Amino acid sequence: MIKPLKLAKKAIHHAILIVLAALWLIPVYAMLIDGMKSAGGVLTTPILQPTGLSFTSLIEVSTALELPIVNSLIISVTTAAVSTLVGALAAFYFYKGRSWTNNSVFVIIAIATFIPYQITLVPVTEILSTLGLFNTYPGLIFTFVIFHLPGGALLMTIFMSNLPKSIIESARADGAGDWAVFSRVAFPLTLAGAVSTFILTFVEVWNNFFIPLVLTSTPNMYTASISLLSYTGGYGTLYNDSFAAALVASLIPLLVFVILGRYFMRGFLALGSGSKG
Amino acid sequence: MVKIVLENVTKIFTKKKQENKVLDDITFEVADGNFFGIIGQSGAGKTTLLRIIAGLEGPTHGRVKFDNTVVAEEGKIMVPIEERNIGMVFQTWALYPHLTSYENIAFPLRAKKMDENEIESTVLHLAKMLGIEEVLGRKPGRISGGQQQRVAVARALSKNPSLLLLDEPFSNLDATIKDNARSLIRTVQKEMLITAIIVSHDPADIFSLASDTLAITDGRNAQMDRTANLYHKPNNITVARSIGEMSVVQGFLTRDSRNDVEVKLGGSCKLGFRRDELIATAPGNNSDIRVGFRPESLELLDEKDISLKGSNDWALIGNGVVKICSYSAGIFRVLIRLEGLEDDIAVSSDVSIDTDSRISLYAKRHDLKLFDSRGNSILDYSTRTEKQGGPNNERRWISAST
Amino acid sequence: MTFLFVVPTLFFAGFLLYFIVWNLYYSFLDYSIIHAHNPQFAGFGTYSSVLGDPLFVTAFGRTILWVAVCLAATNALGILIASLIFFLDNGKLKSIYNSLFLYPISISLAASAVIWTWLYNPQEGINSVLTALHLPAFSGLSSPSTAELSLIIVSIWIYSGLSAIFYYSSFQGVSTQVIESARADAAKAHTIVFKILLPEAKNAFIVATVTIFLFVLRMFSLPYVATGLDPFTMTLSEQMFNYFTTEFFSKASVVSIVVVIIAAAVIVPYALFGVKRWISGD
Repeated sequence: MIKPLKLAKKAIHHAILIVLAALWLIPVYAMLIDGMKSAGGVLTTPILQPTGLSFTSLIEVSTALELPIVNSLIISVTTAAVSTLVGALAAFYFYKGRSWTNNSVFVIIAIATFIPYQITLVPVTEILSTLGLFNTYPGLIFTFVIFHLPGGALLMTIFMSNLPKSIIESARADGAGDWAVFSRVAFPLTLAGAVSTFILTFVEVWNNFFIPLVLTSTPNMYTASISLLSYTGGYGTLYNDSFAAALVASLIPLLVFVILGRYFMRGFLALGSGSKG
Repeated sequence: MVKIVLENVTKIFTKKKQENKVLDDITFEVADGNFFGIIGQSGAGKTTLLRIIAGLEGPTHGRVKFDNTVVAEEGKIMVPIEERNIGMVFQTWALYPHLTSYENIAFPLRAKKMDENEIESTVLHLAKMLGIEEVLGRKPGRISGGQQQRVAVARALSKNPSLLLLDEPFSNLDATIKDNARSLIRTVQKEMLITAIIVSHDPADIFSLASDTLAITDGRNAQMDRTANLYHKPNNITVARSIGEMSVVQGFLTRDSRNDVEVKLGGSCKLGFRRDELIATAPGNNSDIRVGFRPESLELLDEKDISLKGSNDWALIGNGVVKICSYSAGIFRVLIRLEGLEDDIAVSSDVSIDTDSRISLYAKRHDLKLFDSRGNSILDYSTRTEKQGGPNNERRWISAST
Repeated sequence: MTFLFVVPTLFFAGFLLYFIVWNLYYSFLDYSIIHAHNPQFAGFGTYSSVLGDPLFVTAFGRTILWVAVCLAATNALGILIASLIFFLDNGKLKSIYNSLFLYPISISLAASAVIWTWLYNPQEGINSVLTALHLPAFSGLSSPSTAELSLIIVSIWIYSGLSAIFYYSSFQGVSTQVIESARADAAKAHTIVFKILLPEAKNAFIVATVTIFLFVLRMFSLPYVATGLDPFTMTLSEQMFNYFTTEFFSKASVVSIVVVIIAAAVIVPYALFGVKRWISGD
């Protein structure tokens, strides 16, 4: 028999969580209902009150953001792929030996992972201008790889450190050289970790605002997050456009989060407490 | 086939500036086609020794030769593991979890860039020999432990290695299928004429497979001999215990005017030895020594039973009580405590005996082991009559009710 | 030969190092719109002019305050959320809540800024609800006195879920037998949290604190998109950008060096502390 006191406690427990969750969801709620509000609805209802559906604003914003989204995709996917694969190679190096040099290099990579990227504002602009890469895909990707490759190497090292040593040793006993051990055993067995690394890097690059702000100068190179600057809602803007723009610009990372959230979370946890959670 | 030679191999691991000598001056030779055993307690250095032979570690000092080729010397590895043509079975089997059994077995062949037809025929041949044809399409996670172990053996053998290395290959198997696995390895090794080395802490593995065995304690060569000799003629207590159960009790050694020896055990037991039964450096008059008994060389009788009294072969060790009686594989293991002795003694028995029963303990004179206070054997085994081992036909038992 | 595997990573990481050295070099020059073509050596001159700039000083203080408030709040909320989720019985529900509090981190700070700017709108946003409930209105971004607080609240919304999953995962590392035996002893939930779970969560505290510290230290796009380069919300990163756009390059480099020093004080010990956990595999 459940005591009424226990039942009440349970109810309070759930109620607190539901209230917190509701607070957390307000922005998504607003994006969804207001991104699909008509101009008339905007003028007659406040932000948190729903009215009828209209896709006008959403379609308009989608068209305007099409190119920035393609730009974001190109840059994020390339950076994430390079960081994951090249990072995996580095991880294999860290995995194989535990010498003094090895550990020092690893500490340097770990430090590089966490350095705030803003600090390179001046030199990176200078270098890219000198190389003629300012306001180009290669320039943006090159810069992003500089910032995200150390993180990719760190994450892949964390995931790879879970591989039993005996599997790698047995591959060597089976006659496999370094490259074969990496490509046929170590990397395939760290695939789940590679997915985490890829997703985490992808979302971070997609959401990055500072680097494209500094390194792009023409609208055709703008990324999704930069484009949001024109929807911040000064006088005269209607809020349905702002919410529609936020929704469109966040849709891909949000979908990635919803569908592959497990990998996303594992990436963060690995960075925090190591691969075991 | 290959002859393995280790010369003065020493391995020192340095961790946080602390030197740890894991292997100390190990020298031995494994003849072509021989099955060699390495036994020792965990931490004795036996796995490190195997890893040095494999090429996963280099010896800090000393030299490893395969036939006449030096493969590693003084910290340097001349021939890396992937070029030593060895097959290795790890304790955990270390199968590639993302590959099917077929691909696991084929892995070494692909590394050799063998052509697909040849790979297929080799894999199928081995699978047939080891009885794993039906699991070739499955990944290691989906087959039984026994099958995984056989896949690991097949993978180790597929490239036709000249040396097979086995690191505790049976420790993760159920007891019931261990003997099958052992006999399979024995058969395969003989058929393929491979030199093989097995490392294990389990005497059963060593007895069933190895003709010669090295016992290591604390990284040192404690004894290298025919496997049976480690059991019957151990150099010291650690070796004796690593290869089988042995109870050890305190004794006191006195010598008479002719230098013959009497050993006192507990209050009443006195055992006599001729002086030539002991080695020359054995302790002199009035020394503490230790006496070892194998469980099967002991006999339990009802306290009132005097049928063994006066026997030349059997010596009464003392009277005491049964502390506990447990069972394993057709034999009861009885732990007894004798009056006047501080150590328990384990005895094999064909029947179960009630706890607290009063008993007399007899030991076969020829199977007694004597050690000095540091645990080194003081018997001159060459003077002892060869009449050892195995259950004897004059075994008696006392009824449990008494 | 395995060293070849790490060469590409070192190549790129080398740039990062080069950038820092570059900043250090330029911070000792007077390189600005005035001396665009022949930067002069200025010693600590640029440093003293930056450190004497009231805009920099307030931006510095504001960033530190932001870090402190956000860390306190995200750790507290993280523990609360993680404990509430930890004591749920339903595994599916646990993972739904975990993701639900974490989702803001998958949205860009720019998008969050756009959304919250509107939610803080004096007439249309949350205030419309507060007014309807006869509660006092919140002036949000429109008043200098609450603008920074408003943005700090947004950052708390973004990072609490992250702190929660760190705590949650360390709670899960506590042996269930210990918790079950505490329950058998009729221990109250808060006793279990404070006496059993939290003492084991030291690692989560360090990780959450360091991670969120670094996120907030480099805070740029949230205030930049929400309020522009506004003197009442400007952070260190924005101040650096401000110097940059007005072409005081050496001053921007000085701010970079300040940020690097603050970050390094946290990152270096953290990386050394992390090495063992990160590569603890067998």
